Amino acid sequence: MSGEVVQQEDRIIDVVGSSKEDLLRVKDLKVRFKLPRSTVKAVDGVSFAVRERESFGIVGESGSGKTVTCRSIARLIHPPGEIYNGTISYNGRDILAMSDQELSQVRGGEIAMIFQDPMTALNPVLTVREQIQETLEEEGAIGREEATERAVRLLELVGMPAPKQRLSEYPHQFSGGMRQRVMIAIALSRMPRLLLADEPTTAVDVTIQDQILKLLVRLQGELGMGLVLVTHDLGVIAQTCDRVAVMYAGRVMEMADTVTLFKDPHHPYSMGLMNSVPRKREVRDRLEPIPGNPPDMTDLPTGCRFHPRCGFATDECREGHFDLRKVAPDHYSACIKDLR
Amino acid sequence: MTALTADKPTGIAGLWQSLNRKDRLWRRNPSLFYGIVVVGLVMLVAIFSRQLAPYDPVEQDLRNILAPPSREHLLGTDNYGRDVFSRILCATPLDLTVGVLSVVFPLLIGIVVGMISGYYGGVIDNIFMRLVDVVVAFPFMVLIIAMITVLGPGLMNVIVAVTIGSWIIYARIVRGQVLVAKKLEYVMAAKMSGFSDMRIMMRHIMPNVVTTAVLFGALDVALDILLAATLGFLGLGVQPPRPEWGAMIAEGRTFLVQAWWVSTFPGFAIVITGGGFTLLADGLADVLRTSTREV
Repeated sequence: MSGEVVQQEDRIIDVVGSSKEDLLRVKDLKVRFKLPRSTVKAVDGVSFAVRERESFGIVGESGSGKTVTCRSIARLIHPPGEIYNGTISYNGRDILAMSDQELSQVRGGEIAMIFQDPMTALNPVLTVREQIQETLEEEGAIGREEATERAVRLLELVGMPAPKQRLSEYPHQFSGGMRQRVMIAIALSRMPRLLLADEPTTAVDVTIQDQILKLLVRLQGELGMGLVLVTHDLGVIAQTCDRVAVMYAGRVMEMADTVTLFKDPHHPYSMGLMNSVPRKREVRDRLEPIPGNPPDMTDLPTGCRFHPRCGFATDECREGHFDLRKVAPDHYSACIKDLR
Repeated sequence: MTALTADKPTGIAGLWQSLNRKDRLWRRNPSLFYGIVVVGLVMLVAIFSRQLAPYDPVEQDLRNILAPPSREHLLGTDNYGRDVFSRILCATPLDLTVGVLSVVFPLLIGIVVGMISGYYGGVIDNIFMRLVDVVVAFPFMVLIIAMITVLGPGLMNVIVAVTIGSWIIYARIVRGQVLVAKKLEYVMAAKMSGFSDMRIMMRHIMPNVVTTAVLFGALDVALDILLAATLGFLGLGVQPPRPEWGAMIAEGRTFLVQAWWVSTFPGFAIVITGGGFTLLADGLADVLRTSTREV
C-alpha cells in the first residue's frame, strides 16, 4: 500500500519537476464544492509547474475545472468550495499555508489576475483613475501627481488611446475591449511576476480577442512575467502559450509544449479536441465532434474519466487510477494506451 | 474612441449629472422635480414655522372655539380656540424629524449589519439573520406599540421603537445585494489587489449596494410620518399640548360633524408631505436604477 503511494508521489514530482526555475508549482491540487445533496470534485489531483517567464495554458470544456484551478492559485475559492488537498508553491512559498496578511501581499503585488468579463470586473462607481490609483497606493503612499503619471503610463502600456483624457471616465464609458485593457493595466500596476488570466478573451469579439492576446504576449515578454492562461479555445492557446495542460472532468489529461500537443497529441481527448476545430491548410469534409457529453461531476465514471466517450476504450480503461505518465521528454499523457 | 455603451454614469455620480443636465428636469423626470419642490417647501416651512405662524400654536382662546375658517383664522380654530393653521405649521419640524430620523437610524444599522452579514456569511450571518427572524416574528405595529408602552410615550421613544422595528428591512435588503455583489468579478479583482476586507466592503461593495436601501428609505419616510401620526392619534406619540398632525386629527375627530376643519387640514398636511417624499423616492429610483441597470 505504502509502496503505491510513494510511487504515486514520484510520478507527481516527475510531472511537476524540481527545477529551480519554476515560478509556480501546483502539486496534487484537489478542490471540492460541498452542496447540500452532493459533493462536486471540481479539481481532482492536478499538478503542473509554470516556469519563470513562461506562458502556460490550461484548456478544457466548461466544467473541466480549469477556472477553479486558476482561482485556487490565488486562493480565491469561497464556500461552499474548499481546497482540501495539495500544495501550491509560488517561488518556494506555499500559498495555501500563507496567513491572510502574507496572502494579501502576494495578491496584487506578485500575482495578479485578469478576469473573464470586463463588464463586471471593474467597479461601476469608481473612475478608472481611482481604480488604478487604488492599487498603486496599496504598494505605498505616493503623491497624486506621481500616481496620475503612472496611471497614464500604464494605460499607454496597454495601448489605450488618449489615456490622459480617459482617466477620469467611468467603466461604462469604455467599450468591452478597452475595459479589458483597463483591467490588464490594473493587474499590471504593481508589476506582478505571475499573471493569471481567466478566459480573458471569452467576452470580447474575435478582432478584439486578437488584439488582447497580442497585447498579453507582448507585455509578458516585456515585463518578464509568468502567465497562466485559462481558456476553452485551442486557437487562443496556439497563439499565446508555450506549454499546455488539457483538462477534463477535474483532471489533467495531457500536458506538453504547444507545438507537440498540436502536432502529436497522445491522449484521445486531446485528439478529439484537435479534430473538432477547423484548421488552416487542411481540407476536411466535416469537423468531428467528440461524441457524448462531459460527465456529471457529482457522479464521475470510474477508471479513466474519458472512457465513456473514448473510441479506444477497452475494459482496462474502466477501472483503476489514471495518472499522468511520461511519453516523451516534457510530454505527459494520462492515457494508458500507446495509440500511435 | 467613442463609448459604445450609453453615457450614463451610475449611483451618486448619475444623480449629480442628472441634476446638472441642461434640459428641463421637470420634463425628463417630473417625479424627481416635483418631489424636490414639495419636500423643499415642506422643509422651508419646518425651518420657518415659528415666523410663518400667525398665532402661538398653544395659545388658547376659549371664547373662540371651533371657529370655521375665516380671515383671522385661515383654517379655523380647534376645541380650545387654538389656530389650526399655526398648529399645522408648528407641527411640521416635529413630524419631519420623526419621519427622517426613524429612517436614518434603521438605515445605518441595517447597512452595517447587512454588509457584515452578507460579506462574511457563515456563523456571523446566521446570528444576525436569526436576530432578524426574532424581530420579524412580531407584527410591526404590535411591536412598536408594545415598545412605546414600555418606554413611555414621546418623540425620542417613537424613533427608538421604529428603529428597533425596522432596521431588519434594511439589513435584509443590503444583505441580499451584498450576496450578489460579492460574487461579481470586481470584488474578486479587488481581493486580487490585496485590499483588506474593510476596504473592499466600504469602497467596492457599499456604494454599489446602498442604492436600493436608500430608495426604500425615501419611501419609508412617508410611511414613518404616517406612523408617527398614527401613534400620535393613539396618544403614544408627542404629548399635548405640543402640536402634532396625528394627534390633531385624533383630537378633532370628536367634532368632525360640527367642525370638520380641525381634523381635515392636518390630514392634508400629512398627505402633502407623504406625497412629496413618495415622488422624491420615485424620481430618485428612476435616476439611480436606470444608471445601475446599464452597467
